[in-house]
Amino acid sequence: MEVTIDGKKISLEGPVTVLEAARRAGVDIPTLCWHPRVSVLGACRLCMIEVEGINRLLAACTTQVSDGMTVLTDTPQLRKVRQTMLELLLCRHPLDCPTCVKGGECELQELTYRHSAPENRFPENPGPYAVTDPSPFVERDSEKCVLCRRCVRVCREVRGVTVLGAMERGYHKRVGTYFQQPLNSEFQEPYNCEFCGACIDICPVGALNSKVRKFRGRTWEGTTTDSVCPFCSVGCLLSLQVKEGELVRTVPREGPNNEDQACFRGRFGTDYVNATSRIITPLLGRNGSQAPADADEAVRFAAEKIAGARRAEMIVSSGLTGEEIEAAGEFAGAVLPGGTLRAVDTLGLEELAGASRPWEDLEKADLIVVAGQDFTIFEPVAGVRIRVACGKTGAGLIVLDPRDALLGGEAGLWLRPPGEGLSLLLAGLLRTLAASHGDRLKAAGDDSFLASFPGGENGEVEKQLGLPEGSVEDLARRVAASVRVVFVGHRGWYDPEGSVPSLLKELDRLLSGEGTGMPLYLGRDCNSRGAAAAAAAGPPPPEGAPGLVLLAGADPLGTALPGSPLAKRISEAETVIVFDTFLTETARAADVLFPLPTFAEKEGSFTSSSGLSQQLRQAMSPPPGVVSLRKTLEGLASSLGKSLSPGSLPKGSPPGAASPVAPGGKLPSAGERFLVLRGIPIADHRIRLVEESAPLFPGPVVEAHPADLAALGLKSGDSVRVVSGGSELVRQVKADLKTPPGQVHLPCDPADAEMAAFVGESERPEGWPATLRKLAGLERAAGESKDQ
Amino acid sequence: MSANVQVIPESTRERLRELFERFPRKPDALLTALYIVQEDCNNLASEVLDELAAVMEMPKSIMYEVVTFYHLYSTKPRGRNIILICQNLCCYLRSSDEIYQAVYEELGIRPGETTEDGRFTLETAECLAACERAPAMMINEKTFGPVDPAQVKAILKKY
Ligand code: SF4
Ligand code: SF4
Ligand code: SF4
Ligand code: FES
Repeated sequence: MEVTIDGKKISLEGPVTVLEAARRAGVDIPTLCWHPRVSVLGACRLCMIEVEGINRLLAACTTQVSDGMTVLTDTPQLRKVRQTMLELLLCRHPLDCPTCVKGGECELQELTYRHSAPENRFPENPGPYAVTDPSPFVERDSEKCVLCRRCVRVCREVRGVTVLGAMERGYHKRVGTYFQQPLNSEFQEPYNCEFCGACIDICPVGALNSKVRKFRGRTWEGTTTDSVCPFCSVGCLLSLQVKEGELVRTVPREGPNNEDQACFRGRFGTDYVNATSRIITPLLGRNGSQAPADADEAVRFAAEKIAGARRAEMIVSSGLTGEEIEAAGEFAGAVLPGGTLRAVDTLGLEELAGASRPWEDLEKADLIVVAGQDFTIFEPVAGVRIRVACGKTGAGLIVLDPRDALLGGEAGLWLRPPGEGLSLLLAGLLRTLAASHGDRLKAAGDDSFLASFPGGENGEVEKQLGLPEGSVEDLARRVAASVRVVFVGHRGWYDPEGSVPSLLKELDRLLSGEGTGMPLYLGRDCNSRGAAAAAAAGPPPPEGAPGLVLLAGADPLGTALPGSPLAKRISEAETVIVFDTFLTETARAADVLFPLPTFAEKEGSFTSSSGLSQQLRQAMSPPPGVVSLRKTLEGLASSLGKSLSPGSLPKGSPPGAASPVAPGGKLPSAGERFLVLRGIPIADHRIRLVEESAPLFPGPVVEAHPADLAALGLKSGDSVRVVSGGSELVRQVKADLKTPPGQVHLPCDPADAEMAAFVGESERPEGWPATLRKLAGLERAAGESKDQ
Repeated sequence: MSANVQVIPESTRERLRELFERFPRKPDALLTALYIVQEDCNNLASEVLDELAAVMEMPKSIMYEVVTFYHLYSTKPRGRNIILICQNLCCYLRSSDEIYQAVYEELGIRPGETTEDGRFTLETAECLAACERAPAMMINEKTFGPVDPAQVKAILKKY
């Protein structure tokens, strides 16, 4: 195809819009409602063009190029139309530019500057639509809204949340929510705002803003540094704006894992780095008697303990950088007597060490299989990538997830294996594929691998999981019929043995035959993949008293899950040395505590869900006296007359490493009314430091489907007793549409100690059945006073 | 929020099930579904839409977009007879505001309001597709126009 735009001839392959063609030809057409990440709407009429032979104006963003087309983008008529459109927009837009948070990056400001007439013929008449939304994080200032509906489209098409809509009609049209309710409220369920902030980024004007960053700095002030999100393993790239030593704004930037998206935690949760409660000097003494000490004193104390220990183990968080874990390994090997290195939150991930698969592969797939739990809350950007890929390529989507986490409803097939039944379902799939679709598959399955799973006959598996008859075969048929299948796995408590990564890897190998079977897999922490490659998975082997335990960044006492053996080990240790930024539960149990810098204050790398290693850049300096983990460890080593040496601890097979995880899989037993579905703690100590996030925490509740509650004569707010095996829990119950009928979801808040003890209970019955009972009046009174 | 009481009665749900059979996907039947539910439940208040959203399996914000776009749907309790007066350009230029005033003088209600006896609800309309008869007014399913303010009283009497 050949087109002429403003006299420039270009040839291109269709289908393509005039707007795209013009951009390729280097011709600038002003736009406002158009945005590359969302569908085309054609609402603002700023991109009007003239096409030879057509005697009316056309919108460049909605007009497809045809061969031989001659387009004009800058004529007196067009200039006048643009000016009029801007005049009309501005007469409904308060000119608050001097105090507007968007100042400096406002598209309307820019368009007005470049295209508008010097004077406005219309009286200023802003709409009467001031909105006060009590929800945290997102401020809606509808008076400034230019009705481009980019926010509506991004919330719907990209985030899949669909909480925003273009309400009313004509002059009264405005962006709003269902019955003008707050962005996150019971009214919106099950499509509740997740405060991803995508609408804030995409809003061309100051109609959607971050409540948290307001008046903390103009967009151009301070310094902006590119880094990586320190929360989940999606690995979103972030830009950190720092002004006068304070992190004032975090926004996502274009990255291979996240495109240009982030989530609540990456965008707003990073505010924790400003918390004043952090540790800035070493502390000596345990549990409440911890007092600041000078660095030499602390080093002397720690060195003495190390020198006197028979055995010592180093436990690292999967949230540390690869470089920090490396330093910890060098220290463990060269300095610690009988030293070992272990990482928490890497269960099952050793299987995937060294392999990688880019998120882009989703766009080459004809079938995407999601095996996981609740992307929406914990790794929403993974959900975004899947949703966008399916939208672009029309790939099929299969979701295996007990909870209704948006993606399920968008899938062609959604199976809801209850409780911890996922590995059983995957084993069934693998077995069926190997047996009945063997000719289609490139490699044969490993019998001994499968033999370790209970279940067997598909019918039996289906019955145990309460799935419709024939669903395993149906699943296998759909998978076998696809040419390029990409699996996306997700850590969740449904997989207590950590067998899902190896099952997915096996499935992938079976289907691709490449021997590099590698699903996209979301570990529990931002660097789980990196940590798994460098250290053995916790918890440590049970034999022998631990003597000395060193923990860097890891908070097994605070996260309570699934580390009860680890927690036990810490409490039994003679001496505990902790390196951390905040006084976590684990840090409180330390005999000596050394401060660490936050993610914004260090360099290093995280290995994300795709296996890609990404660089953190230092955006701000740590408080005086706070140095890197490596520096602290070097100081300790040199006081013992030693030095860190690479290779002193054989990688991947540290002494005392546990044998590889045996694939398990539990059978939920029938008969009991409910199966327990364990949630994932969203609110680690960092998120808790962000005050505004409090309303997002589930609080001390258990959740169940409204239909189940109705059947039991219960309603939201009633107190219930959850009994499973020998343990029980009294909590308020909350109606929750995301929880499947027949199950009870424990949101699992680490600050809720009783809940943590209940879900961490190792003696629980197979498959984890439970009963749910309403508390009688007297009992309720007792239960409530206990809650306080 | 009570999960136990159904606002949309079983008979209406049955009508909806019949409706859905004629469409490939439930959301495609939204306009008619809303109409049916409003007919049976008088209006589309949040309690009604909450339930309908669950039946339709669609996001509430999209339903609310549609409900607020068409003035035939109401989210508030309505009178037995609905008066619509067009306020769009043709009607406006031919003094539709005087029709609003005449209705107010006769019934004491402004747009969005309902008479105390529940006989009439007055609503605005963006277009009644009767520009050639501007200013136009509609009561229930009957259109009047061009309406002279002096005729309003007589027209209302019939309801
Ligand atoms: S923050 Fe995210 S989920 Fe909430 S309204 Fe904006 S785009 Fe939608
Ligand atoms: S709030 Fe912003 S993004 Fe949404 S329609 Fe208004 S101007 Fe556009
Ligand atoms: S999805 Fe994960 S990596 Fe991305 S911003 Fe959220 S927490 Fe950070
Ligand atoms: S950019 Fe084309 S109509 Fe808005």
